Amino acid sequence: MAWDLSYISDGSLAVASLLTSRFDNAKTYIDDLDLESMQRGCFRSDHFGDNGLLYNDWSGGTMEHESGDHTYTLATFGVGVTYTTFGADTATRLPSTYVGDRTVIGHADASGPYSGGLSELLNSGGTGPLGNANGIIAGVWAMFNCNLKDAVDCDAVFFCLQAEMSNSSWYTIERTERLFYIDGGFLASRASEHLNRDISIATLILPADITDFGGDVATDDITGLRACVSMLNPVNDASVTLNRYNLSAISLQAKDPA
Amino acid sequence: MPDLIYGTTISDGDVITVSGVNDRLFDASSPDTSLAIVNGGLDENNLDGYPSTSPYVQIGPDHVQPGSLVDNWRAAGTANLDYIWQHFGLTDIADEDVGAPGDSPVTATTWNTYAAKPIPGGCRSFWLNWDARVVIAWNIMWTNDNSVAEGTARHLTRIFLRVDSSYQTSCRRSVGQTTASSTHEGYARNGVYCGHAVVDMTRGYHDVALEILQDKQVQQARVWARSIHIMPLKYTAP
Repeated sequence: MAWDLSYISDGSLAVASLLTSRFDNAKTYIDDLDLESMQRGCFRSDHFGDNGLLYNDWSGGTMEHESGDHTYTLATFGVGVTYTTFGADTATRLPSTYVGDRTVIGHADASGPYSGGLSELLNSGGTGPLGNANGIIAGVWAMFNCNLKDAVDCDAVFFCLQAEMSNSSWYTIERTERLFYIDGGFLASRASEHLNRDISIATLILPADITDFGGDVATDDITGLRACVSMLNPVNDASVTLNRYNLSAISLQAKDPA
Repeated sequence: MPDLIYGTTISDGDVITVSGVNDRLFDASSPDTSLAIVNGGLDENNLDGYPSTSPYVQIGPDHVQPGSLVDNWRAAGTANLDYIWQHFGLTDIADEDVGAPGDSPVTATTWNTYAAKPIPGGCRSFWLNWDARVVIAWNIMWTNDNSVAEGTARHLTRIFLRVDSSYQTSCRRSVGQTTASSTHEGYARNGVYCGHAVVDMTRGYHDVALEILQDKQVQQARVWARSIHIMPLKYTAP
């Protein structure tokens, strides 16, 4: 509310209470400032704290693998890298099993040098940035890039991002599913050749995704983010080889003003 | 600074002193006990509902000056840019590299010794007015006329991201053989890299560039369309 001061009229007896009420009127205004009290454009960077639009522990950051092939074979991962269904989810939080039809990139069972670790972010096991535990995060900005080095004995390679809900199940964010297909498929005779294709995914994870996962925005939250890979119609010695990747997440503290 | 608490009291029947009134209006030595608090002394304690009601006041974009929390810089180009291996002054890049084919070169130290070229339209220098977590996103298409498959020797044209004086090691991509038609490598006639990096930067001048480096065995490389977008989000890492 704007400040509206009633003046003491000429001829009034200027008793203390009249004077005090005017001062109290000013104090009430100053101690209850709202948007109408502030000039448009009055805030600049110096008025904001260190976090700005980001948010503390959920600022996320980047998981990256700097260099080196890591290969996912059908023999090791079994059904875990056999793509069957668009948007299929992964039931378990633990990456030691590959329930579903895709596996997390950076899995310890992948062969080859690997500096990056699991492609997982935000997953501390506590409350997550988006959903019931935090009402001021508008969305999680997620970005992913991966070098698809090569694949053998399969028709296509699929990638996706998955989000974990309430520290339990992982759900595929369907709009992030990407495939790379090559005419004639990835033949075994071409095993020594290298595609070196880049896979890029960027999306904004919103509270509506919790609803899409079958959760309740009021009681569930997003507690993890990771990248997954899968192969379509793998046979024999099917494998997919990846090299560098980086997965980034940023929690944006940017809700619309009421 | 806390809520305004007047330093003097005025009650009915008091003889009101001049200083009793003046100190309420303005007391420079104790601004939170006078209306002098408006001279830069207001803070979140003065917001309506603070701190019991959350969110007490939502500061929206109307009240924030542009460039206070987020900024952005861009560069782009569509003109074809051709490079030949002599541009890079290499003796033989293959000799130094002991990594697996396609996974090259091995160490950042080695990379920095090469005369990689910043790509016009993929570079930007800028002044960052506050510490920030910076999102860098780019799109680049490039190719070369290499007719030799990758083997123990290098036949690659590489793109990578430099931020100030260091390369982002996870942000490197390469194109190898492009002229064959029946192989994986031949299928990949060009590179398309829509990459990203998230880097914490401090207040000051910074320099970001997509750079190109080609092996001696690659006779000529060409960069097509490219663009880069730099978006800092105000943030100070703890």
